Amino acid sequence: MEPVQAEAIDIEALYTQYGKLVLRRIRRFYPPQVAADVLQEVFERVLIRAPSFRGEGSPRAWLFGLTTRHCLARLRNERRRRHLLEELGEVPWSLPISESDTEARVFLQQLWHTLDPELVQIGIHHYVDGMTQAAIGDLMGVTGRTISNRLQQLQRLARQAAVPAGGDP
Amino acid sequence: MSPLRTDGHLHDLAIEDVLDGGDSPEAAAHLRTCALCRQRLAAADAVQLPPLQLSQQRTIPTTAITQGPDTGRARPANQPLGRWLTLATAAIAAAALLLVAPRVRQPDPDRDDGFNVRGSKVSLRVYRDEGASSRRLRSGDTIATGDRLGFRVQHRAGHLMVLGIDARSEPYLCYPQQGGGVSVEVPPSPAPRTLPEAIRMDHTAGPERLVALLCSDPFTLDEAAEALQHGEPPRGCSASEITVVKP
Repeated sequence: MEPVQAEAIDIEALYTQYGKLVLRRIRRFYPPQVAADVLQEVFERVLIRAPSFRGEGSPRAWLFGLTTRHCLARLRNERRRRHLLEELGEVPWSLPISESDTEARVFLQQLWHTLDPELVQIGIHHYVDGMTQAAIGDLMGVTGRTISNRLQQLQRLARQAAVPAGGDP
Repeated sequence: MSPLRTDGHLHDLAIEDVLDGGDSPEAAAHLRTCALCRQRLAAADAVQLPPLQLSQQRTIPTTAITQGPDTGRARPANQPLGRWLTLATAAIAAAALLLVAPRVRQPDPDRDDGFNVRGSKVSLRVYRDEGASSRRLRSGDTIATGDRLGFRVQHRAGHLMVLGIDARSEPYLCYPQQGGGVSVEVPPSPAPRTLPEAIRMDHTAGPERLVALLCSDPFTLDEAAEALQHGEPPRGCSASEITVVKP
């Protein structure tokens, strides 16, 4: 797939080619009955956000990131700030979410809605998607070093949150 | 970007890359040896995509929303006088709709869209002429006797028909109205297009199914209606459907 320039984006062609990708990503966060609505929302966002697509990466990665951010923002705005772990669906094309890691559990259960959106996205790609720092950096258009620093920050916050007041975790 | 997760399996975006025809040797090598990721790939590939339904319509139907025969429904018959009246009305209505184009009402994004697409080879959008504007209808919406409905479709190549089935299970033809009750062969239309014919609703109360059918072979209204009344489109066909209600 050749990169496309923002001004050349044809929304219907983009939907035809990448709609399933977006839908699959949405299903990671929403059940099927909601996912169809979210799908339309994402492509409305695409119309708005298309000028921000620089055409340097693949539309696939751009849409994957945009969809992830949209779903997280939607979950946050729905005031269903329960454990993100409960919101994340088990879909057959994704791998199960690891709850064994304390940091991951804290992030998904209590920390995620208190953090800035970029850090939440990094956390999702790291703890849920299992992506490497370099892959996350490529996806988000920053260096792996930046991702490393942000993950250290996230891990620090998770450790602090995991420590009960006045005691060890 | 490495296609592998920290646990050694393909990450979701790498699965997407493979489905999109990506040729990552690392992903290909992994898939050769990992049954789990092959299953994930197959499951991802099986996802069905509903039609695009942006609430911010970039274009609106400029269909000739015309008044049908006395029954309010189009029947597969050629009546010259009625045809010319229809065409004349169509031209006026099309011009009127073009004038009101910027005032299209946006559908409520929180509502169920009501589309029922099988195979994603055809999608149907239904619009009601509201005089000063044109409103897209969704499943569950209420319509009234005398309402004029127009259609937009997006489809692959095949044989197309739009038909309705009223609460008495009586079928009627929406498009093509001039084809003698037989489907029309169409080239692919990857973008939604407005059909040149429309219908006017009669007084039959109850749920009203409006169905776009795309089949690999020509078919008749009766064949389509019989199959749909058994709950399925005819063999080799795809359907997109909306059900509206007339109190």
